[in-house]
Amino acid sequence: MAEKIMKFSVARYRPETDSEPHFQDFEVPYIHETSLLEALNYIKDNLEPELSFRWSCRMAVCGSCAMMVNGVPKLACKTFLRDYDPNKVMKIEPLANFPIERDLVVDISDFIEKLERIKPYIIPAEKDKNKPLTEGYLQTPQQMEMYRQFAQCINCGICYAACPQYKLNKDFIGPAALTLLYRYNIDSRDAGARERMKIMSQDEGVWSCTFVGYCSQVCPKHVDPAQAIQLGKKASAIDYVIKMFKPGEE
Amino acid sequence: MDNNVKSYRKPYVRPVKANWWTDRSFYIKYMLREGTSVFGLIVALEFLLFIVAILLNPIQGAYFITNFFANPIVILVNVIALISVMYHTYTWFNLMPLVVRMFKSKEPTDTKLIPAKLMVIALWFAWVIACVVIGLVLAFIR
Repeated sequence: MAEKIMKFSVARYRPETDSEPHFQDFEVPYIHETSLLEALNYIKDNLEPELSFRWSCRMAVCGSCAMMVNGVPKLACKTFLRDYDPNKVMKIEPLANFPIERDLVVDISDFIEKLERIKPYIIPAEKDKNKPLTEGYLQTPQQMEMYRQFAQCINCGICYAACPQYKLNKDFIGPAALTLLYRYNIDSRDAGARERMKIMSQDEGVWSCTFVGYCSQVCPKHVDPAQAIQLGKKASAIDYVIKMFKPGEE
Repeated sequence: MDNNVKSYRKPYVRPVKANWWTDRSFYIKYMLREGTSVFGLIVALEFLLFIVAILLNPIQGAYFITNFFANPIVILVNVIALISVMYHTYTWFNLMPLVVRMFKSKEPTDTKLIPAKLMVIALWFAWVIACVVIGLVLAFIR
């Protein structure tokens, strides 16, 4: 297949010399199968060895290569040049709503801290505390289907780049962390809902979401964070009403 | 760890522009959806005005209301309000399935969710029934 040429305008930012990001243009030959990640590696190997960007698995599992492509947050490994007009310039920028460290590398530690805060792991019930590892937790197909979709999250941060509420208020727990919060709360094997509900119901929790819904549009794993957050609002509201009738119960 | 290595870290935080929502058509549609709720408020205030006027003085109130709603500006506002509220309803009916995640049955092996389209159709069906009932009630009062 004949090679074609794609024009790129890639954001550069070198903290030791630059005061703000600027764009650098490149031309990359490509075939039908060329991904954006491969194109960036071509630039690094042949045109600009100093270009910095994160990547690892090349197959939409690790969530490292999230960046803005023509203003839309995407995984570079899952973005193919064939889907873009070769007569136009592809604009590549670091993931929005996060501080830029260098070139296309952003600092997502704020998201990681929030992810840790919601305890994204199964907290066993008191009766299961000393359960032998050889014994499994039985779960029906329906109980698994309850959370399966939301468990596909790869923590790439794309939903944070799509979220206007996170853009305006960095205290917002954000789409991915709230989705995983909901995912563990509805897992039949988990007994940590009480601990997580406090985070869900606080001002920075689900109620900071105004249901823009762009997170669900851009999610590369079809997790649908907007749905998880709205279901979280419902759970939070029910929890509030129950607490009115049963005060003192934490 | 050797802390004598000079750090060049200088994270750059991109400024947030007031017109951020004009960047993507998705955000514009969102702002439109939220903006149309203002007309919902206007319709609610009109209802309130109607009730207060009738309660204060049934005869003069009815006269005032008739004149008020015959005003061309009020008619224009109400036409815009009707279109806006219809658009608002359309957007919210489309979002509704996200809030309801139900399986077709309670069978432990059933992993099929009720399709979103079915819920949206059910909502429009309920909307048509509500319109017919309200229409019949109004016709009966006359």
